[in-house]
Amino acid sequence: MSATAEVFRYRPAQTSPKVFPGAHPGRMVSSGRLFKRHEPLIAAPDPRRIDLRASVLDPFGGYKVRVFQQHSVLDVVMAVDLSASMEFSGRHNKPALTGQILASVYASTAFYGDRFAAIGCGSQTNDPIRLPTGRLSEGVVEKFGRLLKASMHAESCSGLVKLPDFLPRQRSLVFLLSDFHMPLPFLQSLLPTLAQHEVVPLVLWDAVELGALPLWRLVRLQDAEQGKARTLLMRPALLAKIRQAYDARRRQLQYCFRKHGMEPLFLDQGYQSELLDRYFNRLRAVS
Amino acid sequence: MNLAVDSPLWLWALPLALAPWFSAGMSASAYPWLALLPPDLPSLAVSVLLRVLAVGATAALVLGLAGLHQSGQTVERIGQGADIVLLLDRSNSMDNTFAGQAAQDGSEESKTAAARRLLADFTGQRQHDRIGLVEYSTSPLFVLPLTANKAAVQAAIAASRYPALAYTNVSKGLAMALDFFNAMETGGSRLILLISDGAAAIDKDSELLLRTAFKQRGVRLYWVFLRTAHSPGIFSQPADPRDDNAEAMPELYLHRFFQSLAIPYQAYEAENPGAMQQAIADINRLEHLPVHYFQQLPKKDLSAACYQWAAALLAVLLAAKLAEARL
Repeated sequence: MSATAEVFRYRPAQTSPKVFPGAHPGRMVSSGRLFKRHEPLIAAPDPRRIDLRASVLDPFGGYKVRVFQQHSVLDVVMAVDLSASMEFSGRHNKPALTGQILASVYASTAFYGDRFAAIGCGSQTNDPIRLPTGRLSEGVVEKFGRLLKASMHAESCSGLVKLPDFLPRQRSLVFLLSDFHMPLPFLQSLLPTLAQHEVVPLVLWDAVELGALPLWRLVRLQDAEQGKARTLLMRPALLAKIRQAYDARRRQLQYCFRKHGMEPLFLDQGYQSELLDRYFNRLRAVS
Repeated sequence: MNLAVDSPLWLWALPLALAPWFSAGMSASAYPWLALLPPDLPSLAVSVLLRVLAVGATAALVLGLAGLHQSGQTVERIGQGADIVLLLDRSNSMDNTFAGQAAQDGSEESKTAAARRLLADFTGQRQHDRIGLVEYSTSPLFVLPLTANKAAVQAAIAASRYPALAYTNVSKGLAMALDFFNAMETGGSRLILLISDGAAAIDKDSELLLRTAFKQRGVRLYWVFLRTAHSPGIFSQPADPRDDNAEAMPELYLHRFFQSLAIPYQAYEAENPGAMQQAIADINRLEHLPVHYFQQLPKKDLSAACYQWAAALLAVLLAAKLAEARL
């Protein structure tokens, strides 16, 4: 797993609220490279960092200690939609891609020394399957990945409403992996509940799903969740209509996510870690 | 359209034809979210059409197995023609030739054979007639009632090939021929075509009965007299006044009796097959009145058509199956 898992470099948009030292700019002041402010010795009792010049200039004659911004750890959560539509296998196998992305995110957190958690949300009646937060061993994650792949059969993605309850209390980086084949009102009601966290929506689509079907053939498609079926006579005109429908859907999703301060990443050509690298470079270049 | 089936038990399988309506007959591939696919009218039309074809094919197969057919029926028609009773003399002398000798094999045809041949031609030409056949000898023989069935008529005429019988009793033959015509029915011309080579005296009682019957039923009479050489004809007058009686010259007296009936009557004296042909041609020309009759349509088997339809529909379905793709 580790051999194939590709590491990408992520950066949170905001400082990490975690206490423990780590790799990301934190909210804590302690030892670090970036000077933050002067504090009285009583507040930061570290005599090694007494700033003599600042102490002399202090009208009250107290000792001033230099404090620095601490690099803290970050909780990274991988949330996976376990609805049956995620079981689809077209040009790429979505469960396999899910395992690949899980491994990649885990490897990246391991690279930064961050804490990792994973949650799989199925239908609303079942509790999500969870991998509790921590510095986990590779085998545990791999095993959980297999569990995820075997659980993608929920008849809807309504279990996602439970997702906020199982996320860490403090702000975390949440990768939300789904095909987002859900009614827009549901998504609009779901996203505000995740506002506390920094969410990276990963939209997992497939080329076949987007209309790469054999032309001039009859195809019978059955909805993975509803069970309804339709027969299609694939023609160039219909193909164009399907493409249009997915383009419209893409714009709708982008609009919806951006309204909640999230930028979606569309994965419709498989997964490479470079995509996430590029994603974070583009969004967080300044921070 | 009277549709019927041979084995109705098969019809219990007819609801099976609805099964394809509820199952598309195609293996479905899973698709993440159908709601996102735009509605497509041609696809919908094709899928409905395929189901209809499958229902049709199954129904056609079941109906074929049940033996669907159109039952026989009677159709009322109006044509040009007549009700004709052929009254054929079957006395011994009819088996002789026109020359008065017993027919040798093949050399010269007997009067019966000539009559048979010409009557067969005659009935063959008259498409819309109803024809009955009575033969008479000592007693009348009921052969065929009035019918429009040409095959039956031809067969009845062909049946007179068997050797002839005894004497000539024309009055009983005429009485039976007249019985063929119902007094109540009207329309079309009715005629009796009497073919004989001799005559017999008619007694007074029979004469009265025949007179009334001819009047009542409005029947025309054609008499083709097949005259044997050197025998007295219809029109020959007696040379000796003592011979002027019914016993000596029955042909002449029968002719006179017919003339006295006051009905359309025509007599032909045929001394060879050619002359007889002339008589029949006259009848052919004259008797063309509108006639009202019922035609029997035979049972028509439709199971072959059912199987053809089923085969055609299944071929279309097979083509659709071959055009099927899976993800």
